[in-house]
Amino acid sequence: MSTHARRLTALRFSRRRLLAGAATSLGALGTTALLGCTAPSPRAVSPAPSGSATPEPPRRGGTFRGGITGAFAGVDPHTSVFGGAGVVPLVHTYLFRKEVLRPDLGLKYDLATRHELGADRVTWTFHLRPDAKIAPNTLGVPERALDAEDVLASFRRIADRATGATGYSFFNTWVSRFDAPDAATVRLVLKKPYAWAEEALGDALSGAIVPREWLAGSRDALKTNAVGAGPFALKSLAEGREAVMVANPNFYDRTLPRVDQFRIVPFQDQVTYRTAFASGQLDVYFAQNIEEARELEKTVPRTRRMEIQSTGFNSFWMRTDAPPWQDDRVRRAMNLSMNRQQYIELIGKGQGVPAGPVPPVFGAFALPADELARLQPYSPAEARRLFDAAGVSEIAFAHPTSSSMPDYVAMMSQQLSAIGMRVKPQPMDASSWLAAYFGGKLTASFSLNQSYKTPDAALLWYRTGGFTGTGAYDTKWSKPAIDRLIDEAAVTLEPRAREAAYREAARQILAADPPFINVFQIGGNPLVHERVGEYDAGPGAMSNFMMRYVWLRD
Amino acid sequence: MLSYVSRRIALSVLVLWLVSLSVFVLLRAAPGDAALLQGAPASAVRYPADAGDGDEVRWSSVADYSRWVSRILRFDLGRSAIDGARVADSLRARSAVSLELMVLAVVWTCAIGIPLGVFSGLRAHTLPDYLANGAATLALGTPLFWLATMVLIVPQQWWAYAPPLDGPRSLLADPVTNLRQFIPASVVLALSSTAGVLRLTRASVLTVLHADYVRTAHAKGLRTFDVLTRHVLRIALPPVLASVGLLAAGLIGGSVVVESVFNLDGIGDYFFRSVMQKDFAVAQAIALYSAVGVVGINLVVDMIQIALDPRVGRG
Amino acid sequence: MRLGGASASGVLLLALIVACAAFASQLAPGDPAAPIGRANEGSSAHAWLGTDRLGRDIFSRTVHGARRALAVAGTATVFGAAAGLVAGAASGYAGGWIDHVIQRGNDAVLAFPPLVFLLLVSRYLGATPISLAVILGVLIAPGVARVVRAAALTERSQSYIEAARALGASEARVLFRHIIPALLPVALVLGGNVLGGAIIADASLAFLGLGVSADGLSWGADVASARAGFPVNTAAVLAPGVAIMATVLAVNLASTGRHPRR
Repeated sequence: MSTHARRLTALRFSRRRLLAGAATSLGALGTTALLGCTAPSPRAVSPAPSGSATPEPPRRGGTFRGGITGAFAGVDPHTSVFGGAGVVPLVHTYLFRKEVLRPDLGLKYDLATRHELGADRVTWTFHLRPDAKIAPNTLGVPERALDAEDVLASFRRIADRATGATGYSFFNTWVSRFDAPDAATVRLVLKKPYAWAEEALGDALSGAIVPREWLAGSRDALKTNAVGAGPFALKSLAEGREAVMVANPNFYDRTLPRVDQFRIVPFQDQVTYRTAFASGQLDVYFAQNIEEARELEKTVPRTRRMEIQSTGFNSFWMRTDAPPWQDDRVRRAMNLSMNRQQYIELIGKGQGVPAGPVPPVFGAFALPADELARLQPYSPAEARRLFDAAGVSEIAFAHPTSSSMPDYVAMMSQQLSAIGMRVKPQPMDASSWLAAYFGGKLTASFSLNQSYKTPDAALLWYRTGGFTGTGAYDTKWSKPAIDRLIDEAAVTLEPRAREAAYREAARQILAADPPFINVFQIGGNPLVHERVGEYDAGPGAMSNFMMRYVWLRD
Repeated sequence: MLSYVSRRIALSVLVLWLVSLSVFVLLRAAPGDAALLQGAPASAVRYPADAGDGDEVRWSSVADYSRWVSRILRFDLGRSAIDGARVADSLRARSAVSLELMVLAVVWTCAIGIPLGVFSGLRAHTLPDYLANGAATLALGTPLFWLATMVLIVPQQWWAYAPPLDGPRSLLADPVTNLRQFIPASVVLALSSTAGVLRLTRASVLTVLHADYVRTAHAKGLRTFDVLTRHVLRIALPPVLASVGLLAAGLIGGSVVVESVFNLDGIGDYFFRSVMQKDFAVAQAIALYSAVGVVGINLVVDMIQIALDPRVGRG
Repeated sequence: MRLGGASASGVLLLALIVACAAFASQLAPGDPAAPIGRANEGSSAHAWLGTDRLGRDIFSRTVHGARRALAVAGTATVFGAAAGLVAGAASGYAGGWIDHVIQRGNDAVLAFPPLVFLLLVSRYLGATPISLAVILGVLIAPGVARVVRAAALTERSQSYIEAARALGASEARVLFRHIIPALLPVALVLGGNVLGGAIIADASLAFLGLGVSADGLSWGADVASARAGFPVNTAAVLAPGVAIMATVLAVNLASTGRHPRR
């Protein structure tokens, strides 16, 4: 197995799906660029409250009130994936932030002020700002400027397998070494040229730079508190109750952040979350579907509705060393039996797009809609013929229970029983499911809300060694020709050629009856209260970089 | 009587020992789960090597059980596998919420259920009695989760009113907001226990009213009020009180839904999530302490009964 | 046994609901899990109560949901009453250490708040409709056992029991042939009194996502998923909620006025 195969990437279970989840509520995860890839900023569908000719000058002060559904589950800077993932990017700095899903935002420098790639195409050099000062805190961390030592300490923690960091796979697979020529410069040397290096380092869940004194503390301390040089400082974190962040007076940009306080309230119940927004207690709400969003737009005064494309979608996973999935015909029949249009109409309430191996949110990296429809058509008759030919009459699969999952399972069960199959869904609570899935104890599963930061991550499901390369979640599918296509795409630096390489990989994957089938990509439907002057709801995890610009009219 | 009390206490201790044993066995011996959890902890995707629950090692022997009990007795509850917080700290903050909810619910139950029940019993088979009884029957049939949803949604839809939903406020620091949060929640929580107590009180009063000594008291010419307080209620109420004790235990179940719907982060919802997420340190602590609570409440109720009606102690 | 007006109406309503459950497939032909139209349609001739968020017929789901409610709660009640009867009778009749063991076991079950017990044990047994029925039964049993035990204490001094013993019947034979049949009515009436509670408990667990079967047919589960769409689709929340209330009301009315003899 090549080292390439050993990466564990950001399998980010956005809480919106996993634990009736949260990330999207903050616009932190799971949501992303626009409907249509050409205009990748969130489209406000209700008219802006003020004339768009002269933009209102931003005001300072006030408390921004956001909500999540689910738990924070700690604020570890490098392992958080639940609600804590909405806190981490606000209190820490990153070298810079960059996301494939937000080409409109480009690369946003943060701790670094510039960076360059050497002529060898593997040596990255980052130049740090001198004034990124750590926020005042009661945790005993001095209020000094972050320097190259902090970057190295953070890199070392991410690269340590024992940390279980989201960014581990990048370091493990691609990074050869890193050092600091001086206190204001960091150098990172890759093993091979890698097309997504900037996205990996600029990712909200992977690349937080944390004061080294704080990293030296215990794992529990890192989970229950946070200190950094980001635009906000964590004032209090009460699991199940609230996370309160206040503006960091030491922040290097004296004009930011614009609000004094940023409060996140967790909700266990979507209905409560919605009621809190509808009664004016929250400034932003992520609706479950477009129908609900339209209803709220009508009934709740002073509300702006947006439509965004989301990275959230659901998949069917099969283990190819177990019957009946080892049979190519059965896997193909599964794909042919999916009436994606019905999923989109009934679950997405008309909003959504069918998904192939690379989700459509990645624009030109994904197959065009018409070609995808040709390569994975809805054909119940053919599906039935293939199931019959393979002698399969019963489909059993596991699935986690969470707010929306029963709907997907009901849909799949119904579509399969319509072609004469007996369906046996096996519900599991989210954590048991995750443990069984991770540990290779399942033979088939409906899985939820995979959101990837790069097309590369999306295709890892089809690589030998599985999604993590370590055997976890492994479908035991192995096609050396497809491995090669995926690897080549990841090292193709020229943008156009890279897009074409990903499309070609997707074509070959679909032709080989893959063991991981994406269903459809659902839309995101945030609603924002009119008091919010500027709010970037759309863009995956980049939106939490934009939180420093949020301001309030009152 | 003293021997009855001490025997009663000894029995409670015995029951608690049985409870602790079953919590230990049920949480640790769930088939398959242990092996699965070795693969990945609940909080995130990690590596097999990293999957230990810290100090929460799985024990199986008798010695381990006693070690566990001695830790629990010293309030050393470990840390949550999900958020890394100390379980003892998490419980402290959350029990204030649950306690307020429960105390208020018991207050509604007694303050509404008992007087209405007495009234209903005294006016048996009249229109007000039928109304009260009918309302109670309807209330007993209303699922709490449904009622809580309606109480949250309907005022919002019709009058654009919702209680403050952004997390529980302290009763001492912000009493007005606190009561705006806790009154609707506790009323919803108290509904079915109020109905139950109403019906029980009514039945109890009816039975006593027909007893010979009450007729005698009336015949002796005692004022109705005196008959009521000295003879009827003195006998009719102790069994009702005993049932209030049991109902309080049932409130913990109802509080799961009420806490999550009104976003009041308390013990009930915390327990539910901890079991679902296999956060054992949390789940076992709450299971055990809530059992201690129930046994304690029953003990106290028994003592009150003895004080009110000494015949009980001799029985 | 005479029935009051309230009891009679309860019995009637309950009979109607049982009939709905029995003839669900005739009343609402077609698969209640299959979409029959668009999502959240209003009331029409083809869907009397409209469709739910997945385009399924709300009427059909409500009618079929009666099966699940009555099956789980009914099984739990029968099981609980039977277990309580045997335990209570054995406890009261045998006395001694058997009595002590059974009593302390009862106390231990009752020491847990009911939901805590349910969650703990369902972790162990898994949350299927059958296991939930069994666990609910275990929760019902101690209350039944307590009353049955008291009745058994009086029963064992009855002359026909002494006669049976004098004729050389074994203890077990006396227990199972005489004591338990004599106490059966008590257990049945007690069971009837808790059936309503069992229906609510089952619906509440389904609401929390526990023990919902593959077809997802359960009033509690339907309320749980429909309530998130409340402003858009009112019927989907009201129908299963009203169904639960009507059923429990019917059960409670039907069992009013009947107290076990002691």
